[in-house]
Amino acid sequence: MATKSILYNKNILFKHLKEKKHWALLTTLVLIITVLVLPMLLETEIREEVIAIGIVEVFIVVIVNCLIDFNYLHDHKKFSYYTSKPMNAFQRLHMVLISNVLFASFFMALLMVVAGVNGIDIETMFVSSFPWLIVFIFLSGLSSYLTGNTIIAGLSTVFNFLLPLIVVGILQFAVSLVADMSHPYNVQMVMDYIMEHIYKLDVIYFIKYVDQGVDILYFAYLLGLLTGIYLLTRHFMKKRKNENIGEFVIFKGYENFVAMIFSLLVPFIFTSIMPSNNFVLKLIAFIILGTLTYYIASIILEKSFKISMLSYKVFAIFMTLFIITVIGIGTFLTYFNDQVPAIDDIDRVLITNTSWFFSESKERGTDIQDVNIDNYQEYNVNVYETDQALEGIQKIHQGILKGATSQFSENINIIYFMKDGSEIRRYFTLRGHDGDSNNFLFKEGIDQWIASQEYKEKKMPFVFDDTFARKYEDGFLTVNYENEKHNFILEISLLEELRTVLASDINESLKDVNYDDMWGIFSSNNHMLPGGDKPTMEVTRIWLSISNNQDKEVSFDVLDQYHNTRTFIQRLIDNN
Amino acid sequence: MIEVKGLKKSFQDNQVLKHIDMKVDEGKIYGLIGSNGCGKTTILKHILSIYTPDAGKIIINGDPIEAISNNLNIYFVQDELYFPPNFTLDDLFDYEKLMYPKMSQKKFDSLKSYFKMPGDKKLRQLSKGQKKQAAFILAISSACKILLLDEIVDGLDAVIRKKFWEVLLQEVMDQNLTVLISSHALTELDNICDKVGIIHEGEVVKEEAMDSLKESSKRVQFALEEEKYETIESEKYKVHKLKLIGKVHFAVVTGDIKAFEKDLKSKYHVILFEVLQMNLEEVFISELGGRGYGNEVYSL
Repeated sequence: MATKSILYNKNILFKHLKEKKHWALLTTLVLIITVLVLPMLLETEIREEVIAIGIVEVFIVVIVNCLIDFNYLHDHKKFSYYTSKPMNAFQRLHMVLISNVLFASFFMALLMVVAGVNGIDIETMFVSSFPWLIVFIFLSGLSSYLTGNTIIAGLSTVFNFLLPLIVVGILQFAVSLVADMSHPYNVQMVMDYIMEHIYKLDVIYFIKYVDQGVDILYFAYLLGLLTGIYLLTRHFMKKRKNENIGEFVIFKGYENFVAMIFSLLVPFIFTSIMPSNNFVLKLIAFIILGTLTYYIASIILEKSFKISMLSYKVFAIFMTLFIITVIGIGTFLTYFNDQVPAIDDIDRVLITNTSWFFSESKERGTDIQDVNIDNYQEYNVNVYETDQALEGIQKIHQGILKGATSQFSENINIIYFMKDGSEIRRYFTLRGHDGDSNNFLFKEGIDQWIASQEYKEKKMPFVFDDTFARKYEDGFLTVNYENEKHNFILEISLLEELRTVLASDINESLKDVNYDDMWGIFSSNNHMLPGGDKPTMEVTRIWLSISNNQDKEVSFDVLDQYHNTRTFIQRLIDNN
Repeated sequence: MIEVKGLKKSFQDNQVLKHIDMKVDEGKIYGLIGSNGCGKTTILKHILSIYTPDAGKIIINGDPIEAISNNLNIYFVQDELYFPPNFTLDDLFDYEKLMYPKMSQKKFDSLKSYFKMPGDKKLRQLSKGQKKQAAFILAISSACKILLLDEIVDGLDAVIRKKFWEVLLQEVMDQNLTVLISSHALTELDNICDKVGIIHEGEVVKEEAMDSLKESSKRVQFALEEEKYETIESEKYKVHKLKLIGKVHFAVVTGDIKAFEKDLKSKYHVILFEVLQMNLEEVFISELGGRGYGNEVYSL
């Protein structure tokens, strides 16, 4: 007598597993040959690559098995036969899922043993591949219910698996459209933030756990993901119109969804190959290419050159909404982008061309999105608060809005910490010069900012900040000159002399700054100043390293135009 | 008992079932007949929950099908048969026994022997007729109380058909089976059905017990002295399909035949008046002919 449960029929499950014996034997044979025999024959070690080949083989076998097992959903005769039997749709789904998970687990366990015996790190090899395989099994079930054809079910499984990745491409495309419209606002920063903090692909695809190791969250996430796919499958199982078996896609909504995704993806690929910064042209290209892609995808999926009116309507609505959203966000950003805060409202301001900062105390880095009033000091980010610096920065901001350019495309990030405790963040991307330079637009602001004492103290504290410099009294000065090192003790007199000559050179140099030297001007790296190109000949380069026993070493180039300092150093070496 | 109430179904823009009401009594054989593409198989697939109705209800032994967890008591033999690949009849019996716990080995063996069916030959190597027999053997062996048989005798020779009907009638009598047969073999259904439902263009145009169906429609042939005959009408009867061959008029009359004879004789000098029994095929043709089906005249 058959043992039945609500979930599955145990006897039929055993029978189903028994029927897989031919596949199991074939898979075992293939694995033995490719993972064990071939490396022995070729006298090579069983390395990660060999195990990876085995994993790929298991993937192929399991996916083919799943598609065969779910094939009854794509054939009227088979479907009627199985549905008429006293086993409901859920039990059939469970049976296929359970049998294939057991089948897959057996071979993955076998590969794990081989990997373990050969000293290969099991976690690296299986932490992401195993859940991928199980997710693939579940997705094949979902895709089989969504579609009415086995080949399309296979393609749909891959499509659904890659969907989170495809969404990134689409988001990136939308962001690039918004960025073109709201230039110079750096929308990519928002995208990066989303990818870093919200839409974490490494978590979605279990890659994070390869480095981090397996923990309870890993299993919880896998369980949650499988439950989600399973519930979706059940939902579509109940809603499925089985009379549409034989069509490529059973659900009209899914058909339109796939066509829509492709109508975004293809323009994204094309615009990546043929980049343009012109929002209007890009939008027109998107509309033309998107419409064409949608139509082609629809005629393939509907198997007719005459696509349904519903598909046209869905596309028209979707296209309108997409364009409205892009233009809406672009307009919103442009509006806020144009707001430059008043000096009186600003407490202090951070301006930099870098987007990532490292904290030595925490021994880790952070993105600019995570830098705030409480932690900026930990990351050694320069923040300005004197009126002269603030006015200069405000003018730089205005210059950027007017379309200032730099030699190469460059990011400029400004964070205003307001007196009322709020923050105003502006992330910009300056376009590279395409012909005439537009850097005159923020020239006045830069001049004012870098001429401020605060800028000098923060960018070159050894020279302009007395308190900072005193820490190096009786420390060491190492001059790297003509491939030789010359060491000196920084007695107070030498320290002050050196600072004086450096100060005179820097002050002079800042009067004639190269406005294309964005790193020199905007970098938060202390002791790095704008001053044109570094000397190219190593022999003429003078590199100073200044250290004491407590504080970190200060080192910087003595630029070509620092004539007084170079003369001073030369004299110092000669006297030594 | 199977009850279908107000069943409607559209396949995209095509309304296949407009309104189906039918009742299959327990322990009886119900013949589902109809024109090609009228929706017979679609009705069967709704009873098995293969299709979901747009509207209407299906009740099996008092329970709506939504409340039935599986088709434990129903065995379906479809028109286009499917068997799991590489299975023999014996394999399939073993497989289906896992799902139908009451499946009878004894009955299976005796039916195999009666139909001279090989149990160890792969089903895919059998002829169409043999496959039908295999499916029928399994259906009877399953010990299910309800059999849904779609074009079950299609492809069977006359001898096997005879055997087939014998077995079916015996099982209905012995096991109190409820059988719903969809078929175009009207002559044979004529002899075995307790009730028929005639489906046309997605509607049940007639559902009646076989006896009363035949009673309600008669073929009448009459000859008159008069050259010209004008149709007579009454609420008591209806005259369908009138045809004149030589001097003899042929008509199908439903309703009160005696009243028709009386009216005819009162108006004309009737030389000949004869009432003939109609078989199911004639009833079917007459019923659908009255709805314009098959009345077209072929011409080049």
